Amino acid sequence: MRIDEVKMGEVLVVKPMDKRIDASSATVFKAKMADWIRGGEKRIVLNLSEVEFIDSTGLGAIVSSLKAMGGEGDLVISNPRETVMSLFRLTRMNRVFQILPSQEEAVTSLSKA
Amino acid sequence: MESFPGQDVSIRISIDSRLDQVHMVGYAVHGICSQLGLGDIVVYQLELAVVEAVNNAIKHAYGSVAGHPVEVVISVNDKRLQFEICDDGETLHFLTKSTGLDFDPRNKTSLPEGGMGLHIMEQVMDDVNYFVRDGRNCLVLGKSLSKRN
Repeated sequence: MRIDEVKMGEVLVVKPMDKRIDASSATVFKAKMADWIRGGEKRIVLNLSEVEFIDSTGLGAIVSSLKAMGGEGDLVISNPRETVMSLFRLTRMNRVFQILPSQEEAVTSLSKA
Repeated sequence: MESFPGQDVSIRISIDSRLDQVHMVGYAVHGICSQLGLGDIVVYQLELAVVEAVNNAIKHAYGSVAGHPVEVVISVNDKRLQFEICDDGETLHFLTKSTGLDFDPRNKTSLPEGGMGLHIMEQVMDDVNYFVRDGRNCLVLGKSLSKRN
């Protein structure tokens, strides 16, 4: 799984370039996120603009990343498609994550934190 | 938009019990549902429900061991869309019990990382039935097409 990354001030923006985060790729995604978090990243934007499909295993990997950050950090979602957004609503995870329409808004939100 | 007045059309797909093959089922479901005049979100959610069912068969019925068949039959007529997902693995009794998805969104440590598949299927589909037939486990997911939701 290819994930682009760029540091914007204190915020790390990660952008999965694969179209699917599913049960076959979730383990790799989760491991990469864990590496960044263990490396000290406390403010992460997950840009989902390229992702067309997430299943519950992929969503579980995103939740796991949030939990791995503990109380010190935050993970903000940006640019989800309406279809992917519907998964967050079906599982009530839209009430867990801050989800913003653009990467810029997400970076700004975390920069203020 | 395709319609099937007075006739049932079905397609049968079989994959090996490998998670890296599940997307092929997803593409088939997506392609067929896209032709039925359903909206993008409904099409996505139907693909999601079937993918969850196939993932369950591979991960839980077969214990993530490759080399076993997972069969999906997609049937459609002018009133109903149905997906039948069958395997020859362990019977998954948890699929007969609706558990809901209960957690406190404010409490990070309580957030579920798994166990969401059945909840998703029940939210998306009109009916979800699991049974054993001729020694095979079958999960049948049904959706009425008359509602056009």
